[in-house]
Amino acid sequence: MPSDLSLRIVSQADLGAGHFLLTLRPDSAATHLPAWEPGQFAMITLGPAAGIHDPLLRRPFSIFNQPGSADGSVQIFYKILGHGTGLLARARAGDPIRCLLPLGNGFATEPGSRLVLVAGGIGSASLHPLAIADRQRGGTPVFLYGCRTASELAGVRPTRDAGIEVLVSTDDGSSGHKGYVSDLLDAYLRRETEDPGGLDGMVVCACGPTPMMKASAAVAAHHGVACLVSLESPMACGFGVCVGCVVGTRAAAGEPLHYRRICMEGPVFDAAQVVW
Amino acid sequence: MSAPSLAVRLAGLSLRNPVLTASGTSGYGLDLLPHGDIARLGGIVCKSLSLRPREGNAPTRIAETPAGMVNSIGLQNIGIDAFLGKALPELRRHDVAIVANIFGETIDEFAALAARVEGAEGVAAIELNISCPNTDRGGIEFGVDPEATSRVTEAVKRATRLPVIVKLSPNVTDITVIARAARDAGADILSLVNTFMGMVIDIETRRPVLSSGSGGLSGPAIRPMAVHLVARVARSVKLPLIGIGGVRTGEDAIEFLMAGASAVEVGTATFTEPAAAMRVASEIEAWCRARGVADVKELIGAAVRPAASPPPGASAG
Repeated sequence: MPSDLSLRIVSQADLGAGHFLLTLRPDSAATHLPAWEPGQFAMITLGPAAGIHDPLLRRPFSIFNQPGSADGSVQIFYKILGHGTGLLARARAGDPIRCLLPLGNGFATEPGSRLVLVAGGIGSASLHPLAIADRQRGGTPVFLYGCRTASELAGVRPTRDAGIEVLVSTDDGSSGHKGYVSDLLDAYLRRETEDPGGLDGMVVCACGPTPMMKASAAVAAHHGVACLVSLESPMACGFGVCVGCVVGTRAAAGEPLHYRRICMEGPVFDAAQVVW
Repeated sequence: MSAPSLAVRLAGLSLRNPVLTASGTSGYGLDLLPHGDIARLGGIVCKSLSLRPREGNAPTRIAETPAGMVNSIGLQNIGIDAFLGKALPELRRHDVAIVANIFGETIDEFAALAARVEGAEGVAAIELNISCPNTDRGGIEFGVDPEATSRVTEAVKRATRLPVIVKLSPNVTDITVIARAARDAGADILSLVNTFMGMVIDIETRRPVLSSGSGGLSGPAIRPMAVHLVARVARSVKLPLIGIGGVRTGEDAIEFLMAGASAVEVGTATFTEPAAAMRVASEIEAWCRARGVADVKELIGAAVRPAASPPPGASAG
């Protein structure tokens, strides 16, 4: 059940190329943070409730850290992409943040699944916590990361710093494979196919720009591997009432189209059900 | 002083306080339960209901604008059967007035919906969403046509004894013409305003952001226009009014009361803060208490009545 909490900025680390790691803590020692799952998100706004007209709406962000951390913090890893994130980047330690969390459904992967995580751009923000949680459970997650050019590797720096091995692609070839991260996924799955049962228990989890997720889902489907995608959309409320953030889904090919709310029925969906 | 009286009565609709949720901004009320006690509200106006469930419009459905947002959800809803069978039984366990907002594509559909609601237990009033296309009249919105407004209001009044609220569109040349048509057809209460039509264009793709092209503008951006229209209708039509448009604080709500509304609906503010409507109710009470206003009804229409005496603090000059 989500809580609407008054938090304050503890720190805001500039990781380069417009990427920031925001650390928030409750305003009052009496406030307890709820637990959350990797892939769940928060709706945040600067300042107290009812005070801000610009931006009017809160913005959705994946929760970056693991719940129950010793220092009782919530972390948000984000990239400046528009007006709202631009204002957020100017906020300083001590500034108030209103935060509704946890929202949506995380990545529901079976215990023992072998995770292949495919992140594009700031999509790493929702897959990083899944990688960390999987490693804590004894897994060895594979993390594939795509961005336009080497300087944008800031988007995967916290993941590398945490000791997760990351395979990289860049559109311009300035680092790693030249091309798309879905190419890396295809190459990885092909190699695994060479061993009998090499794809057993494998689950691809993708988050990033829509064309990248669509391509990754197609690669996974081609190899017969399950694929979960974490979707994003303009979102007014984050808790189900505005019905603004829908995606078209079909339970199976030929079944009727249903619009489902990314904030409530997602943000993680079975890629096979998404109408791209 | 003792606690100010916040209760208001609009025709046959009695409310604990003058704050309701606006249709389409709190689902069927149940989504607010994790965020506060809905019994602190005057009422819950449910998301617009149709005879059959509707999937609504393709995304993109919303876009933010300065101090507002445009939406084109396309009236996605669970349909009257699921509302009466599932949502309403849960919602009526809470001590709050429930208003069923309905819309049809024809006058007969409106009447059929009203009859279904009439037979259900626990609904305090019906609000008509007449900002939807009338397929009998080539898709022209009921709410921009005085005759269609009149006919749909009459048909609903014949189908129910519940108080009928007609929700007015601001997208008309003279809102008082529509308001009088609704009154003459038997409307008990008017609520105003629905969203203003608006469009946002993505200048990179050179296409409208919303899949449907245009949508309805809501939020603080429309509040002065909505207050103006409430004041106009209050001067023109002697029916109880519910003010809607950008209410985010108790002070905002009090502006609408002073313009002539007996209650307000809180909409877009709920998106930015799940407990916004409850907070607005508390802020109205605190405002009255701080100024020695014993009864919130003293405020209703204060700004549209001829000033009989100078307001407190003003120079008699």
